[in-house]
Amino acid sequence: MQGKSADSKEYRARVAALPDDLRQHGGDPFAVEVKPILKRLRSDFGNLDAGEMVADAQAVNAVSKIVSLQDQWLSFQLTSFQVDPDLLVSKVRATSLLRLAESISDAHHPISSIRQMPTARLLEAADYWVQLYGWGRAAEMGPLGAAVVDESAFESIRMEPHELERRLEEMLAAVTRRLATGPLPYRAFLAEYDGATRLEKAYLLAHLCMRGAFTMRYDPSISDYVMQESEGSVEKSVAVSLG
Amino acid sequence: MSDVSAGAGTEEVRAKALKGLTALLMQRHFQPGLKGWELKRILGRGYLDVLRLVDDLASEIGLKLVAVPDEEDEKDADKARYVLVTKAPLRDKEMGGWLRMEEAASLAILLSQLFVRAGAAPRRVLEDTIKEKLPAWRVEQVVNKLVRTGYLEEDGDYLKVGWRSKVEIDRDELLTSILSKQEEKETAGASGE
Repeated sequence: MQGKSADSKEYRARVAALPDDLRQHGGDPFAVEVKPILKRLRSDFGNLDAGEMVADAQAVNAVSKIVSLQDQWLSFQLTSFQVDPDLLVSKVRATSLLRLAESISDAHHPISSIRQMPTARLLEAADYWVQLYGWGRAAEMGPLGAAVVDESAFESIRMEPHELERRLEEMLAAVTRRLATGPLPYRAFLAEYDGATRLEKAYLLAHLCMRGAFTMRYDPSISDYVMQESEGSVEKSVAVSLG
Repeated sequence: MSDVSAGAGTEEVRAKALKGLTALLMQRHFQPGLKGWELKRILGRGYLDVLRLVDDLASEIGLKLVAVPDEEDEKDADKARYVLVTKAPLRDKEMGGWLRMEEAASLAILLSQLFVRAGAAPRRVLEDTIKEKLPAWRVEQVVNKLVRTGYLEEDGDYLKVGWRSKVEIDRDELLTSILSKQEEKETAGASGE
């Protein structure tokens, strides 16, 4: 009797797992025959205990999901352009790599978006990096100062938008002057400042880099990142209205 | 009077649509575009109506708005992802080029197989078709790159259509292209070229 009960529970658990399995592995939902499942579920329904009733409800719910998947499958088959899988495989086998690559470009509609990090995310990043031991404490930069890990140090970088723009303009002018003579090592530049000022300068540099005022690249000859002018001079990089 | 208020209403909707277009153009997350619930927060409850106007505005600059339904709940518009893509396929090699030729060809093979198999198939079966054209070590490299870049998704031993393919690759255009290119080749062969 106990074995029969275990069988009945296991059967219901297997039925309950079917929709996820179909969804994950993309099988044909019509391969599942719904009527025999319902017939078997109904056959021992009267002898179920409380635990088995829960399993039964889950199984019936799964059957309804399978019917829904069959409905979706049918709509897909009716509305989409249908191709015989075997025919497609034979076509693919007979086509050269170059022609297949061309097929991708015939159907490729690339995403159009502009990667832009909002100020709130830059603040989060500053907070995160300062919490990490390594940032700003590298030997060649000198000590950062204990005050920077203090929350108050962040007050200087949480500024109003107009204040941020003003400081960015100052920073851009200073960096532009330095970059005119060639690439500028990032850490050497920051090492000229200490404590909260260093944090503020790094934050402003991140903004300017994000806006394309200059580019950062790794220079293997000095094993460090350098700041360098973007393509063209900074003045030429300024966006102009075409209207 | 009613004309004035109607005009003001139209202006308001247009301003909302521009706001929506800007929000969709700015990539804030790892994945581009915005979820429906994010657009609802920006544009208000009637955001789906505004999105129609956003699509019109995008169309003027050669873009189109596509919606990728959530896998778990395909009917919920709030859970779908809305992304701007180019209206016409980008055929210019100078403007694309983030995939090498054999990678693009492998993607065509894998996606075409997945599209006719309802979106998922065993990795081994899919790789076997590419192995007829590329060495095994290269096939693994290519598939891994396509998974990493979001064109494919791994699910245990299975491969599925990735989020990026759902957004960027038009299923019917790809299948038509593969089938028609083959026909062209056959025609060329038949004419003794």
